[in-house]
Amino acid sequence: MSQRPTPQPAKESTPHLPRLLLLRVFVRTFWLQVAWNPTGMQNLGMVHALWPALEALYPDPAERRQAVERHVTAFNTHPYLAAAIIGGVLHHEARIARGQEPPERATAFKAFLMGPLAALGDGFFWCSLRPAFGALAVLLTFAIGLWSVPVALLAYNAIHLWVRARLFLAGLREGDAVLDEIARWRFSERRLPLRCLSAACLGASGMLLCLCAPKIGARLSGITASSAAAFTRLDWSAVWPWLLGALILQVTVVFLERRHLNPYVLLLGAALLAFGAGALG
Amino acid sequence: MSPPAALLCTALLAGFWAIERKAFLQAMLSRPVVVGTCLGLVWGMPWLGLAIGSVVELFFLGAVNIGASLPGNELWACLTALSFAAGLSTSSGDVGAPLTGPATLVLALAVGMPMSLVGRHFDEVQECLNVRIGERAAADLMHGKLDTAVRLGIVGFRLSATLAVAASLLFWGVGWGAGKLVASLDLALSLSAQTLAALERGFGFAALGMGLAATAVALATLNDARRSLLIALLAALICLALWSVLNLNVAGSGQGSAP
Repeated sequence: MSQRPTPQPAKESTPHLPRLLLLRVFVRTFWLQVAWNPTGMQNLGMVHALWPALEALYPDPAERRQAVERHVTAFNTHPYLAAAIIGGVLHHEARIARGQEPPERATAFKAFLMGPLAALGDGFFWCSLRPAFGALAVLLTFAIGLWSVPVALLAYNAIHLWVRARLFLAGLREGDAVLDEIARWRFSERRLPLRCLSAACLGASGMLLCLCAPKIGARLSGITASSAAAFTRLDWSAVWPWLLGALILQVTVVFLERRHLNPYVLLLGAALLAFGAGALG
Repeated sequence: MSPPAALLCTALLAGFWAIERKAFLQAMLSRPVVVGTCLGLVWGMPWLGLAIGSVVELFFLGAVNIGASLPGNELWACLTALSFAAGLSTSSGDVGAPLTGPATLVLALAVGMPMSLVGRHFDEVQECLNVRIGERAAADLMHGKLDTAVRLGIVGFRLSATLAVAASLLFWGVGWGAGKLVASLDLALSLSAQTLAALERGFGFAALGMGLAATAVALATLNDARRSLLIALLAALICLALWSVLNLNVAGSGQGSAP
């Protein structure tokens, strides 16, 4: 198991690489998973991202080759948080190129951080933030229609790109001390509110789907829905059978999904059942 | 947009989305709700695109590619459903009630959703091919060909992009063929008005059922399902209360209209 590397003093160890080159490396971090494979995982993407910097740091082909070999070993982490590792690796490579630290420091840094950052990123981005914005985009559809998509995209990517850029710069400037910057983001604590937001958006979407069904049907088919007015007035005699039916359907689907019934079967089954109810009723 | 231009746009976008989904950026641009809306706009049916995209988005909301787990490919589901719907709408034209709006949505989703499993299979094939690319890159490194090794990495997702383009074109063709077939049957004339109305009502209910089932699948796959269900129920009740209050106020001021 890897040992935590000893943090280096930040100011005196900041690498001096041209800004344009750093920008090239940062943009290449977007391609980290370009050749993802089960054996090396993100290793080729890692080498691809670091390549411009390694070319600048190691003019001697033999030294450059050694540097590339250090990074072609198996590597896997969360693609967004990988920016922190790539920034930190650049920090270490710059010091290695100047002879200020041994080459093992860069590999130890990667090995130490990739596992924890993978878990942190998967839990926050994939399991919390992305579902929250997906659910929010669907809910916003009822309020602002087609604009919900650009709004949700802008909000998500403002966070996503900001985190990537901040962590890349933090890794570059602070090396091992990037851990403090990551801790400041409190990714673990922010997962729960996002999951609650997802659930609330889904609940509200389900309700609005029932209440707006005649209007949605009208908008999709261009046919005027006669029952739309009853829903607008919230005429209970017209609305309650819909709400009860929807509740029964949703509770049944959740129950069966939790019992590991195939969700595709559930979706098509629900459609068939509803078709029958609509056509016969 | 003319059908050939729309097809070209669909193919280009499908290739881009297939790469963006995992190989590049991952900025949610290839999520179903975005794909559905964009393709809907391209084919002149934005609301249908948004509706199909939303259902697929909800269905795959909790599906995450972590470690060795490889969920169904939501992009394939959305691309094939939208392409099918576009083909169907293009060829059926003004065929009549059975193939408009909700019916297209239900048929497109029924065709497209299982395709996510085919997409997943191709994801596995892609990863196996990438192993070979990795081995070749490592061999090049050993021979000092650093540039070649680095460039090999970039070609990693060629197959995904090519297959996504092929699938979208193929399913547009399938939809177009299905539309022509239905048009040749001339359902509007051969079926009674009562049957047509029942079909229309049935498809409307089926579309709603799919939307509700997808929402329920999303809730079930969120972490901590019990708490999620409670919060969702609370949010639904608040929503109903707000709906009631807002619409009563509108009715009271004499400006009642559809929501």
